[in-house]
Amino acid sequence: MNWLRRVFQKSQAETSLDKELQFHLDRQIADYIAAGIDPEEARRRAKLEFGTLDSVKEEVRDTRWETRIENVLRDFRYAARSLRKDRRFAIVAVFALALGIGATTAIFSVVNAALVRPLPYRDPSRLVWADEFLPHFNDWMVPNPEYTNWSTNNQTFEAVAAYDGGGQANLTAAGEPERIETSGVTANFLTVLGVVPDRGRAFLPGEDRPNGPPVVLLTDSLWRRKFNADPAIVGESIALDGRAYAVVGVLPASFHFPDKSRDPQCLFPFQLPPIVNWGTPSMHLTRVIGRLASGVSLDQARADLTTLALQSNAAIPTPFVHMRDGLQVQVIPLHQKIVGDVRAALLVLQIAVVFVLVIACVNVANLQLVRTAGRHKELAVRAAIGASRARLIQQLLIEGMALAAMGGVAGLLLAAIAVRLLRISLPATITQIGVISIDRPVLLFALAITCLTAVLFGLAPAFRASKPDVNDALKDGGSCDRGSYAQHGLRNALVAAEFTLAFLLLIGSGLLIRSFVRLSNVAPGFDPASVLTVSAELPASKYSASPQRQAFFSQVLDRVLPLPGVRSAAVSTRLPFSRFWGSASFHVEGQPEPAPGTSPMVLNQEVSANYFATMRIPILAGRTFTPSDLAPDSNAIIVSATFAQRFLPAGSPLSKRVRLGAPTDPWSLIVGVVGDVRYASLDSASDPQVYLPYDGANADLASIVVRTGQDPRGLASLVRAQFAAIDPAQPVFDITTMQQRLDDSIETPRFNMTLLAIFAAIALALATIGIYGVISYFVSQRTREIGIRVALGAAPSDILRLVVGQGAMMILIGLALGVAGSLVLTRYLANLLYAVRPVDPLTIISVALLLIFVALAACYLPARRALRLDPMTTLRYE
Amino acid sequence: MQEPKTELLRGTLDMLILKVVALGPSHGYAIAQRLRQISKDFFQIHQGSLYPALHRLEDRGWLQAEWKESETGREAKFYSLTKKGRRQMDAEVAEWERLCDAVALFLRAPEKESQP
Repeated sequence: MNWLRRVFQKSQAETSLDKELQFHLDRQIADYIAAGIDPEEARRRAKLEFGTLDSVKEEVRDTRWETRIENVLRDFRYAARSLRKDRRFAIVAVFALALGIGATTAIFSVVNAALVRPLPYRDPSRLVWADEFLPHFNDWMVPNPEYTNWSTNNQTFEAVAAYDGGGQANLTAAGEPERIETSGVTANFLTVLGVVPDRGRAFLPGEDRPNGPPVVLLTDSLWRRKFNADPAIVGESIALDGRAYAVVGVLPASFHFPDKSRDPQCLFPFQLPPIVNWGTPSMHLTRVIGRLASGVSLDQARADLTTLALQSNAAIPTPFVHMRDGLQVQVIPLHQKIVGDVRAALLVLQIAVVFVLVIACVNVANLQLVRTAGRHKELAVRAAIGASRARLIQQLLIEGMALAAMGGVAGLLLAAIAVRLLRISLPATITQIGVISIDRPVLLFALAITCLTAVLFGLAPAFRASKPDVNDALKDGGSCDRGSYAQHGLRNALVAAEFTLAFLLLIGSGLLIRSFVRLSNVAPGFDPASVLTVSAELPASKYSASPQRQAFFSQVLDRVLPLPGVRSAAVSTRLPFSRFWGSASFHVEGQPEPAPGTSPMVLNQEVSANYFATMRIPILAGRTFTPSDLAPDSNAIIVSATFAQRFLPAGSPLSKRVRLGAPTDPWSLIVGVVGDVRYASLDSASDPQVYLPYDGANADLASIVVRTGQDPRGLASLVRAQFAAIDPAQPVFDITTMQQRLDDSIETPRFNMTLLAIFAAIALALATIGIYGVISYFVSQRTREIGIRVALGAAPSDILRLVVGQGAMMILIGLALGVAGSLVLTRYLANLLYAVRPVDPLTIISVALLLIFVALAACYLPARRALRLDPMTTLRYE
Repeated sequence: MQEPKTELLRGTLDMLILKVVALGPSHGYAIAQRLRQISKDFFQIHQGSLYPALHRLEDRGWLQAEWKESETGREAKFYSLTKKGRRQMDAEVAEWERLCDAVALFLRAPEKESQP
């Protein structure tokens, strides 16, 4: 271990060697003098004989077998020293790398959580999602008899489970009444996932039959939040929607519901008939997950379920069986189902951020090239005193590694900050999949890309700089112009590459920005400004009859209207961009009766008289509702413009009659036509819509909308208090503004756009630094040439052309490659875009102009410096 | 810079150094002088070869070094032979002598025999 100690006691060994060699030299001189040689001559002769002290030392060091390790450490110290000397370069390089590494790591932490990390269930690779597409409804749906059919008769699954569409329940336990999200699941649901409750038990077979016992499973978070993590809760009963449910178990804290649009706080048994019965009047829609038997492929499972689905056609009553014409069964991995729609966006972001990283590397490589060109002499001196080529490469690579290491550490810090920001700003569709954190895979990823960057930007300059022509470099002035043409080529190519990548990122973000602007400029059909919304679901146990429900909301409106700042208020059973909606089949009077089961469907909702005025939905024809429409014999309805155009194209729709529901239902009279509203989302066109007067008959869930003259948020607590004043046990939810709902509905595209725009901006900044650095270097190297040209009478415009032309070449090549690349790549953005085509000339042209402008500005600064050069000074220079 | 009059194989230089040091602890300069004197100026060892060799031998544990006061009163690094070094030297000397004997046999062989 002697050598090890010596590695770290470098300076001691070094001084020892110095002393030893000096002793030798001095003795030699002394002996010469003793032999009668003139001291001056003696010194000269001894030195001549000795050779360069440095080269002897270098050789001594190299002989030691541990030299290599020493070299590494020494190069690190040397690198630190030389970076300290060139602080500006070091800061720019570390900053660029930190940005690149940090951004890449942060996005990878999201990709890791959403796409890489396996689902948090037992043996998740065997979990699948099974679904059925019915062309008649143009939708995916699995009615419960189909689920039971699959679940009992399949040959390819270990088990098949289902969950329902989810709901909400009023929890009146300790503290304020609260509305919580719930979901019904079949008894084997947790078994299929491989999840075991932390306390208590899962549902028992049979608890998921109709009229099964009222039991509930709590999530860990609800248990802690509402029940103070009381272990005795298992076996107790809690009140949900006014009914007592026995708590049978508590789910583990790690439990994630396998559907990212849901976050239920408690689970009920999904009560389904245990036998396949297609004859029931009402069916439930089920969401089906299954665990494949071992060795079964997706195709085999799909074939199995398809056979079962077609077999069940025989059991389906004739009027309905052709609703299943063209039925298709889909079996996909559960992971794919869960991450499906965020996958494309995340991959785009990951690729974008890798572009940023590559630009950062190219940039640092370029700065390194410029710097090593400036250090030509230093390297040549080292080569002259005997450092081998491998040693020089090693030294430069280690300098690169030192930079990369600093960049990596700083990048990891940036990533840690970015992950915090991402956690709060990511759309719920992503955060629901898994917790975003810097865990081991992310750390390994950061380490890997740090090493990769070190090689990427370290190697090229190292090889280039390690071939110094000793004689040439040591001669004065000869170092720069000669031999640097090849380097110029490399540097220019690197800058062009930076511009290509920056162009691609700018195009991508330009497309997303344009798409987002289009999307947010879509008229929603109502005026979202200054509108407050509050929802409540009235429990059937307390408000069993429709007059009670209607009375409740009338009282709320009566109490809200006089509040200061309230302009108007109304009740509606559906709010824009909410998950809850109803639809009914309908028939227009005078048109041929459709075959049973083929009637068109229309969205319906109930609204109070003031709804259209409060929402500022224009009345295109006829009138709005009046209090008299609430009379039992009233049959007034209002339809949307799309409804009128599509189903009543001829003549005025007013006074026409429409029957909603079954042939036995009464006819309704159209009294008005109102403008279309985009209820589902801004990017999907309005569906035909029918409005009925609100009488509380068909819905226990309703919302009030309040238009105010001020910031509606200021009124939220006051409005909420009016609900409590009428019924203190009644929870309210969805207390927000209409503008907020609108913003939330486009959260995902906004997030994608913002992130890509940030990356593009970073890329542009880095590319600009790149071209500025190269052009500045070009000018500083050509000082003499420029001086001669000026002296020979070159006009400023000639000089400008010389310098800017140098940059223009790189820009044009970069742009050309960028345009070509964008034509190939932007198609992958297609499903993130709204009303913008992937190849968008306007975006391409504006991005190109922006890039040219920024690049020319970056060239102009050094060019101006060249113009200001005094020819006399420059000619004396060097 | 003068090149050494005779190129020495690396192993040979090592052996000569060991032999010189075996005479008694000495510093680099003295070793160089001794090599020259003993070989009657035949071996002129360049410092660029001598010092790497000394450090190599030290690292291999054949020589050990310590700083001591030299004959002029100044501190110098004195090398001395270790047990391991002596064994190594003996082995090398033996090897060298066998080689010399073999070569000598060839050189002394009557020329006639080589002619038919």
